[in-house]
Amino acid sequence: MRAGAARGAGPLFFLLSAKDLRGYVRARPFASHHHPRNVDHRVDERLPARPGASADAHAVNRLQERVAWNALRYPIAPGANRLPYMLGGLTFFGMVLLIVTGILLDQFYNPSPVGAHDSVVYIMTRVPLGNWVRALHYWAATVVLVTVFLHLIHVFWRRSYFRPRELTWWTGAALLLVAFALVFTGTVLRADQEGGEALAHAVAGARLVGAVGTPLTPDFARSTPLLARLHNAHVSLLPLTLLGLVGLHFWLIRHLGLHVHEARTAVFTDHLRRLTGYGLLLLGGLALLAALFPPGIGYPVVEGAEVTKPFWPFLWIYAAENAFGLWGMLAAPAVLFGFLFLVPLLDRRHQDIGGRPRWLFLLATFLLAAYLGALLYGAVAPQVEHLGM
Amino acid sequence: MRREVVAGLIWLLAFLGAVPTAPAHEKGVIRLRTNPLPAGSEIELRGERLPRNAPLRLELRGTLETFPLAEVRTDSAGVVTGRFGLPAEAGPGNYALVALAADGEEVGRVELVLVPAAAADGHARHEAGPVEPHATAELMDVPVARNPAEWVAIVGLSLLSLGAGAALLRGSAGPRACGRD
Repeated sequence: MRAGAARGAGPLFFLLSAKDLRGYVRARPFASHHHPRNVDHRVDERLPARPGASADAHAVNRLQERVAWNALRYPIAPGANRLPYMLGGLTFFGMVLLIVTGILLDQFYNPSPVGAHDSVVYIMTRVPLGNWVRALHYWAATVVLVTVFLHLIHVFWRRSYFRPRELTWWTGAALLLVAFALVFTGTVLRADQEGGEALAHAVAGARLVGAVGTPLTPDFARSTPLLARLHNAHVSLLPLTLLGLVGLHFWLIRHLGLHVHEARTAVFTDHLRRLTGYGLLLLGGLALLAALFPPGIGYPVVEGAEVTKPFWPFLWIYAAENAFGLWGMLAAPAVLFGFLFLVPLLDRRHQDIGGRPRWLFLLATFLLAAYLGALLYGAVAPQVEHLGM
Repeated sequence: MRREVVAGLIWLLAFLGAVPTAPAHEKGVIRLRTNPLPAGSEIELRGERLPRNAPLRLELRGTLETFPLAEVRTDSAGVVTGRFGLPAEAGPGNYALVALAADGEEVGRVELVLVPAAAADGHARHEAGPVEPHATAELMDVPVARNPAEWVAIVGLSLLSLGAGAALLRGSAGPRACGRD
């Protein structure tokens, strides 16, 4: 197979031989007559079914034609190929990894209150590679939270929320909220002491806000335990919401771009290739990390006790709870997500990078410092009872 | 290409057809008089449509542990009845009571839930005295063993991912190169 033909393989590169793969990675991205402005959504004419070409090339060519692969060769800003601009894509890569590992774990998880903890221990001890898959799930969730925060900071810094991209920003903020909800429900599903206490805090918070919080209380449905309903949310409701928001987010980025003034001289398939490269590096690193540092599990929950601190992504809320009681647990996320919602509405002055109001930048810096400070404080502060149990 | 698709379908059908599906024994039905049950109590069961005049082994299978319950023999109608003691050391949780034929094949199954003795019988708690469980933030000492094949799979996947990722990045145009063609 010629290098040019192999280059068109895209995600099917694993079907090619080593020789083909070498040609694939060495090939220049596009010939000069394929300027992105002249993108043709038909099958790549550099892959004709000419005499002497291999059967693989024909198969790849035909497959590309049928899945409209060349429709992805639309123009984008070249800056999108820099690593900071790939943080969103890497977050998505992590989400895909979470979905795959989550589906595997869910084959062995029992969402009944009496069986949940045992089933997690079963996954860790009896399922082949179960402990590793669980660790991969854990580390992927950790990485997603880190990359999504870095992505958020970068987008704020670049003012990519500016008109007409407010909805892109808001869908991103909503994705962060859903990510937190997924991490919370995932923590509860362990059914160990930490998970049980997280659930008790959520129920207390839900009761505090009255009718709005009713679905998070055991009284909402007597036919089904709350743990089973949270499991349902973790594996269906929240992932579906997440994927819907991701789809909308991608659609808006595809059609509105990243910035106001950007020359779209690069091609999305190149971006996809680099993103896949970074994603595979991430997967390789996570796979080793998961093997070397698998997360443990606490003892089965003892109802009514409060002896643990939450999973690290919630330590900032824990710190707020230490300072302001149960209302602090609700107020801290409200302040963060309220600010994120307001950002596009508060910054409407100029479109240039330097045009952002100084006070908004200072406020964002203060909130970020408060967030990181609260995380740190939550990590080092002694364990405190909040629910008065 | 059509020929390749047809050939693929034939292979798939041949593979599916090769998978044995017929069990050696007829599957019976097992019913319990009460469910859920406290650990250490007795169950009263009735099994029907089981192999006739056959010895069966009853097992209580939990998520993490399996407890042998009894050896029984069905009558000429494939029926077995009896009362059997549940192990007191079995923890609360979901279990399956399975009936196994002499060749080890499962011929009957019923799901049951074991609850703590105090939850099932309020009097027992007073007689034995309340046992306060101890809450702790410590992690369990779970014996996780990873065999060499698993290590090979993990390291292999890691190296493959790292190699493929590096190859893709090395071969793709960097941010500066993009858009210049």
